[in-house]
Amino acid sequence: MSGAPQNRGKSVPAGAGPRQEPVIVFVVAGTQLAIPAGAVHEIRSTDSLAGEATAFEQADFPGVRHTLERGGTTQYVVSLGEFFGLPRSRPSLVLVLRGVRCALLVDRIERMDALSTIYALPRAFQGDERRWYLGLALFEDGVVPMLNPEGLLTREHLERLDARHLAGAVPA
Amino acid sequence: MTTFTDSPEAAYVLLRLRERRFAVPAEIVEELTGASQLHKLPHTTRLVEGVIVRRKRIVPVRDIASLLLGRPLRIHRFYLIVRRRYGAVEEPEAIPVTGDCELLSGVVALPRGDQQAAYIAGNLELAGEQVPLLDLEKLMAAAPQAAGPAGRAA
Repeated sequence: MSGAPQNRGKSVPAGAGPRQEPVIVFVVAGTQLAIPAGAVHEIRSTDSLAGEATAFEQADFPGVRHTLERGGTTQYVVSLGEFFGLPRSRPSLVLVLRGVRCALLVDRIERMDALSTIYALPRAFQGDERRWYLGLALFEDGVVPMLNPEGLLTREHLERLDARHLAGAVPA
Repeated sequence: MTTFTDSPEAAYVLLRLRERRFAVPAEIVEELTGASQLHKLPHTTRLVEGVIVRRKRIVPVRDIASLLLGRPLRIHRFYLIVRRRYGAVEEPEAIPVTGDCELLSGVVALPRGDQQAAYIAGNLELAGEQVPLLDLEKLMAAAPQAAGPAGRAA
């Protein structure tokens, strides 16, 4: 049922509380979002990436701004504010994600927190957000979407981006 | 008089959107609650404004005024919490309403007029006023579902 909490942990021993999962709560253009801490490989300042990132803007992929070459693979740097159509902001951090070829430009880290439950996204939401979010986290100060690290750029998106990236890298 | 419902005991909740009144079957209404904090999140589903937290549940808010009146309801005092069906699953949904609601019972619904939209299930005649009886499932189905491939903040 929508809005019902989902225990995301594995089986919990009797007498133990629900397993707490660390999450990173961050802010983009005044909007709070969260991501499982385990999904983040590293957090860098945008300044520190200046020498590594290559401009790569595609009109039909709003938010994709740069690429990073890491370990022989290309990661696409996504400005979450642009991706979500939020008001313009000034990202200062890059969340380099673990296991997916995506890094996220965000304004600032709000806090680390721990969650034992997330709430399923209500079925009233029928658009791409069903892919973007793992669910909704309920904190004392509000409801925060929990990003699905694999949901922002799909395999199809990555294939198209890779094709263009390769085409751009090969001299004509 | 032709009756629309099978049961003469059918009850309805009368709601107000600006100056217009509409009715929904009472059986789908959970409660009427005062204005709660609206939490917005980026999404692409049209007419969904965000979510509220009610009884430890996260309830999406859908402004049906945009569909019925052609523009969103900017000022409202209450949320009418209704149950929506998604296949075998029911989920709550909050509808912003302008004012208090009224429970009507023993009212007979008249059939939908030929010119009325499919999401009008019938009409209640109240003191000479024809109040449309909404079929919320058809109403929601009439709404475009997504704003497009790019994200939009609610």
